[in-house]
Amino acid sequence: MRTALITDPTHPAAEAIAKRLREDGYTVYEGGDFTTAQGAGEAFSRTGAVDALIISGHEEYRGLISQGDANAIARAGNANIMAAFHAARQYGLPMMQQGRGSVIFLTSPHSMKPTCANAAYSVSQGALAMMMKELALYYGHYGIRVNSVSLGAMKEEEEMFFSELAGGEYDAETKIPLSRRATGEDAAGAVSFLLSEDAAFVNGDTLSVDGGHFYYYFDRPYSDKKGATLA
Amino acid sequence: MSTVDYYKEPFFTSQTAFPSGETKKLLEGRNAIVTGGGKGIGKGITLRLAAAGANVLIVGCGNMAMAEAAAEEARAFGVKAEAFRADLAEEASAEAIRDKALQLFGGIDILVSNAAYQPNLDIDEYTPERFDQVMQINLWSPLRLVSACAPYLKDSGHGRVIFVSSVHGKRVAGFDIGYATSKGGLQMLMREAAAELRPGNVTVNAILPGGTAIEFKSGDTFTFKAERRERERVYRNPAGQGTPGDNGNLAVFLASDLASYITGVSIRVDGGLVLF
Repeated sequence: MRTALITDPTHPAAEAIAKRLREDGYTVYEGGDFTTAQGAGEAFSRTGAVDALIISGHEEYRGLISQGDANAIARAGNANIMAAFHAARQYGLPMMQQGRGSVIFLTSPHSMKPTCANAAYSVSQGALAMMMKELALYYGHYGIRVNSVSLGAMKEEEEMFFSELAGGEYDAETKIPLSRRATGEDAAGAVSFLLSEDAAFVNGDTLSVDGGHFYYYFDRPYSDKKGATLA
Repeated sequence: MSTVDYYKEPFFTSQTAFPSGETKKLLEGRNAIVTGGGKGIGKGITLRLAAAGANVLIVGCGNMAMAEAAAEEARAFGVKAEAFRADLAEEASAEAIRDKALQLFGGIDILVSNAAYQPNLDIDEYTPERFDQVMQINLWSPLRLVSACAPYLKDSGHGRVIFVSSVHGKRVAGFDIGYATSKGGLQMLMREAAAELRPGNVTVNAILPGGTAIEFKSGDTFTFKAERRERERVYRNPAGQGTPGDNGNLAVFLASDLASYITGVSIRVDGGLVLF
């Protein structure tokens, strides 16, 4: 029986991912205190070594660097990074010893694109994007694959990322080429694929699951061109 | 290695002709903060800024004698320069640095966040405390500094933030997971701050050094990784290593009015070490 751990079950996609992994035949563990090494150790004593580690921490804090409480932003952002560090450190070594396993970071297009609303989140996601790649390089030699799923805008997170300085988030449905927001099931499908044998040679990559939202920059008025003819 | 003249006087110490007909140094009268400005790349930046006419507050911590010596070298260019001790891992350090700069200069035009810590460890070699320390110094201290200085950078009318990141913020190297993680975060901090500070005419950019020859690297453990890194560097950069002054030249350009429409970018200064 294969086992999986989803570190933060409060992530809006966690429930759908857990459901999908159970359907894929995993025993799924959820949660644990990853704010400290001791907490991560306690989680490990409960679950033992796992085949799949889904790092889903998503501490968020609305606040601008230039106007907000810098210490609060730093603490929230650091919580994301340290939680990922504790989880990867605790569960990575047993994976190395077993010579198998897979790690997936649940990240966001904000690891590349600023939010102008939630610096704690985007700065930590930028950091985790590099952590994922470094782990892929290091763990890869032990047969462990490390990848990311970059999940786009979910309805649940709309308010957290609304910005008066940048227009990426409001009216997202009109700015996402596929004209809808991301769902937990979208993330679950990508996670399932990356854990599967079909992705056996995929290591250190990020699978964007955002409907093309990442490429939004300027509004392009939509017009129905189904009836158009070639020039 | 210390006998090499990494900091030799650059061309722009002379007067520069501006389109207005005015002749002055590129950064004359500007006030700068350079964290880690007493050593290595930071010292290269300090001396280039000073040569271009900027007053410099050099922030040091572990080796204040080097910070004091760099201040003395900077003053030789006819600018104000002082060394100031602050432990960037402490939350209160950002405001202390800002207050010191305001006390000395009365304003802040240029913030160069350069100081960094690279212990060169794998994830299982890191204690949580050390990993956290790397994040505090390399990532969250820059954020706190930008936050503390933002109102004064806006008041400047030509405020500049320059992050000294690393090629490791873009490209994995397998040397130090903490360092790479912090530099990846710094790339996003640069973009967030650039977006936020656009309305204040403050530009925010990053320099990504790679393969720069410096006196010594704080915390470098000189394990097998350091030897292997040296082999790779020579293989990839047959032209040789860069100097702190190479990074200082770019800092002067980014800090000057010549770069007022450039923000949110990161530029590698690595002689082609990393080509993507």
